[in-house]
Amino acid sequence: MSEEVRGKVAEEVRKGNLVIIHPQASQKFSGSKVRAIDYPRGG
Amino acid sequence: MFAWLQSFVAPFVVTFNGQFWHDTVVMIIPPTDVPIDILYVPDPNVKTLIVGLTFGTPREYDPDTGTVGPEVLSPDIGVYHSQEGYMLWHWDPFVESILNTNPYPQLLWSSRERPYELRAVNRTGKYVYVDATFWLIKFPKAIYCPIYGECDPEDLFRKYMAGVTNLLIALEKVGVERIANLFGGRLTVGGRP
Repeated sequence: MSEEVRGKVAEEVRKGNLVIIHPQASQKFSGSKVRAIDYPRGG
Repeated sequence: MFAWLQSFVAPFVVTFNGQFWHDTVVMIIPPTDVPIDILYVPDPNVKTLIVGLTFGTPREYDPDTGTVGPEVLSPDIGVYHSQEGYMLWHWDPFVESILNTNPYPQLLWSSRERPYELRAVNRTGKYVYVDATFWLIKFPKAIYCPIYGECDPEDLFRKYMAGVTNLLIALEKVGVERIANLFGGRLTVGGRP
């Protein structure tokens, strides 16, 4: 994972949010305590 | 492992232009006393048949470094999951019999209106990294069937599976000997001519 993504994951999970990582995560996953990170891009 | 899936579902998939697909994700699950609800929403432009959800090995995750550590196999962590109309809510703990086996395909029709539902639980006190794959087949929203015309794939699949069942039951009722006679008595039973 890139440094940027790693930092975002750390920030979100420390808030108690579950993180999902996938190139189209934000289109496929939702939930009030779910944070979707679209990574890696380029597909 | 999925021989019957190949036998009976594959012809439907091939005939009606199903496209195999999977979504493989990484989840970082924080320790929490409150379960976390997740909706997996399929592509709205197609009809989706989910055939399975599998998990990798859960491991400790260090948010400071972004690195993974030892395996976390525990009944204190896992997911409940459900698909309306097809799969009842049930508990998949992250233990070996769940993580290492996959005894049956799910065959769940899922859509934006009826998404696949999950509820993550993590009472291990640790941040946990786990990958998961949703295995599925995408169909066009409407497919043409020579008997019924334009159909919803989910409706047609139900008819197709009912047809398979009815056909096999009818064959049993007719009797093996009579069926064998149709083939000049050459049909074998138990490997004997």
